This record gives sequence, structure tokens and C-alpha cells, in this order.
Amino acid sequence: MRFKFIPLLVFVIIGSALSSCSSNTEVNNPDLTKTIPVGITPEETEGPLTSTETNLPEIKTTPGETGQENNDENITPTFTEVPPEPTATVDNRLLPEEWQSWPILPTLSPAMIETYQLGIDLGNNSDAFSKVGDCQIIPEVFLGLYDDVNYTLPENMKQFQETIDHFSGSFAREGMALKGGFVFPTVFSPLRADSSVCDPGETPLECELRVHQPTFVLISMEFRYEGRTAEIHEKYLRQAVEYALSRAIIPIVATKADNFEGDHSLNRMTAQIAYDYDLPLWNYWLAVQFLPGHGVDWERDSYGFHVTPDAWLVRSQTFLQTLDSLWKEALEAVEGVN
Amino acid sequence: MNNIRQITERIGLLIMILLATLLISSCLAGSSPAATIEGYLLALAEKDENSAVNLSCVDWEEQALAESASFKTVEVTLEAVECQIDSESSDLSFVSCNGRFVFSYDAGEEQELVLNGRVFKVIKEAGEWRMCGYPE
Repeated sequence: MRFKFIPLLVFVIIGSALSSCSSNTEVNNPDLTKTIPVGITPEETEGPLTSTETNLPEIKTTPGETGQENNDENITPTFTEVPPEPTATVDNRLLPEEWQSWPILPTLSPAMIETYQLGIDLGNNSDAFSKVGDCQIIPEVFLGLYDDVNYTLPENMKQFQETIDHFSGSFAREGMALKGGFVFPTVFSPLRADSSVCDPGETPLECELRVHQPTFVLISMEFRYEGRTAEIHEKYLRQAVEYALSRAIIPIVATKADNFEGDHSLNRMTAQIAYDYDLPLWNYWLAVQFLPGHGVDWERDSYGFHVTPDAWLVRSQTFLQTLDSLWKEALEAVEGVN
Repeated sequence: MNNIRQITERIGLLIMILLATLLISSCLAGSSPAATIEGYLLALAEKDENSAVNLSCVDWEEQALAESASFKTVEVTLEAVECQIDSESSDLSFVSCNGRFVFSYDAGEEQELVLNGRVFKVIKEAGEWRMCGYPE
């Protein structure tokens, strides 16, 4: 009697097995010959920059021993006949939570000058820089114009021509770790690396730094994606920074103009990482505060991600100034060039 | 007679349960290394991170999440994908594929990711074939 239900039980087991098999087969043996349109979160870009002038804010920096110093506490050196006694180094850098007051143009910390020297010794190209980023810094809207032989700098920026000449070829170069639609996880995905250039198993980030072998790398990933939190962004940014430093390449990190997350937590976190590693932080957020809408193009999208054409130009110009400043500072320190 | 009948029923039951178990295990993720990679690529295209993780070995799960996230900002189509085993041992296999991903970005700008020439490492974990990265 107790086995009367057995055939039924067996049929149930086999039935569920078959149904499990059937649904799973769709995953394991899909019809992959057809095109599968899936959900879209398209990002938009604009045409290339054509403007050559904008009223930039006057940028003042106070280069010091560290990248971001508290200018209020600067001490004017005096000379005395008695040799000074050794004292502990005072860390007078602005704190990460004060990131909105950090200067637009950073300076190099002693640690980064050492990194620069080490990179040169290891064969990094002193005339190359790389970009790791998304649609906000593709060459069409960022720096690309500086590699255009027909482009002429505005009168008030002529002094940066030397830097443009020195880093010629890097401005319009997209590289392996920069593309519209990229997000931080993309540059850590070997599948997304260009297999015609990159080694098997190499990530776009690894590939770019190996192929271009720069002395500086700008890391600026702004494009939001589902699941991005300040903590996850921090994990990836730290990973990218540490990888660059492992190759003796100076990472330049940047704040962003938008506040999509609502509490500026990404900029705050970026400043924390710059602080922790003593990295140069280019405070792009501060650079666009003088623009209408603080540089954010609210007419283009309601979530305030895109920046205005004027903000693009400020981005290019202030990064050029950043590069100029860091490069010359490194040269002065390493080679004693004035 | 009743005893013989009961024994026969029990043996039949055991055989059927055994068959069902085998059927289930063979149909779960990773029925073959090539099918695992095809499923993994499809999961990425469909932005189905759960399936991508389920088809990955333990060591690759975090990377599978990252790879899946990297597909979320673009429209993706997966075209004519077909994978085959390059080499295989009892618990390690290398798979290569044909086909391509097409990313549509900015409502028109297309980017292509050709799969030809890419090799995937697949290992057998807990009796199932799992995507486990790329050979270096």
C-alpha cells in the first residue's frame, strides 16, 4: 500500500527534471545565430569642440610640498644663522571633506616625483600621457583639438604650446581604456580589450598602460550605471590607481561637475583616494562653478550628467594647465630644469 | 509473491530516481565547455548578471559581475556566436568562439567586439563546467 504513490512520485521527479533541463537548455544551448536586441541605456555625445575662447576663471595655485596645501597656513621661510633643528613634517594638506576648496590645479607630492623618476628609469615615455574614461573625455570633446595642426591656442594660453608640442599625439589618442559607453568595470574586463592590440587575458587598463607606457594617466570615470555606489566606485578607482602606481605611472584623478548621486559622495571619495595616495587631484568641479548651471547642461538631460560646451572647453583648458604644471614640476625636480 | 513485487518496485524506483538525478545534473549549467561559454556570452548580452555568475567558477564570480556591469550602459546584440573546444582534459578546457557583440551607443554609434580568436578558460567545478577567465 505504501508504494502506491511511488509511480506518481517518480513521474513528478522526472517531470521536474525535464522542465529544469528545458529551461536551462535555453541558457546553455541558445540559438545564438539570431540577433538579440536587449535593453538600452544610450549615452549621448556631441560634436567636436570648435570654440577657441572662453572666459576662464583666474586660476591661482600655491605649489608646495604636497599636492593640496591649506594656503591659510603657508609659512614664509626666513633665514637664521642657527641651523634649524629637525622637526616632524606637518601635514597641512586640506582634508578630503574639504575637497571643494582644493585648488583646481594640483601640484606633485614628493612621493609622485619619486614615482615620475622611477617611471623614467623604467622606460616610461616622458612625452606621453594616457586617459582612462568614458564619453566625457573622448577626444571629440576633450583635448583632441590640441593635436589638430590647424588649431591655434587663444592668446591668453600661448604659454602652453610647449606642453602641447611635448605631449603631441596623446591628446587626440583614444587609447585602449577610453570609449563612449565605458564604465569602471569595463576597463577591468579582459573581454572588452581590443584583441588586435591587447594580449590575451589583458584588461583594457593593463593594455593601455603597457602599450602607451605614459608617465601620467588621467583616470576619470563619470558615467553612471546600475549598481554604481560610492563604495563600488572607490573599489575600482583604488584598483586603477594602484595598478598605475605599480607601473610607476602618476595617476591624475579628477572631480566631476555633476552631482548625480545627490551628496557629492563620489567627489568626496575621489578626494579621499587622492589624499591617501598623495595623488594630484584636478578639481574640475571647482573649475566650472563660475559657469551658468555650474557647467551642467540641465536642458540636455534632467539628471544633470552632461556638461555644457563651455564646460567642455574649461575641461580641456584646465587639464592642459594641469598637465603643464605637473610635467614642469616633475622636470624641475628630477632634472633641475627651470 | 508480494515480497518479490515490492522488491521489484523498489528497484524500479531507485533506477528512476538515479536517472532523474543524472538528468538534472547534466542539464544544469555547464553541460559542455562550449555550451557554458555560449551561455555566459548570452547572459552578458542580456545583462543577466545572475546567469553570468551562475555559469562562472567561484574565482571568476566577481569578475563576472564586473563584466556584466560593463555591458549595462550600451545596447548590445550578440550575433552568430558559436563556440568550440580547443583543448580539453578531465577538468580543464579551453574554448574559442566565432561571432561578435555589437554595441550601439549614442543611438547610432556602433562599436564591435569580435569574438574570433578569443579563448576562454573553462574548468569543471562541482561536476559542472564553469567559465573561469581567460588564459594569459
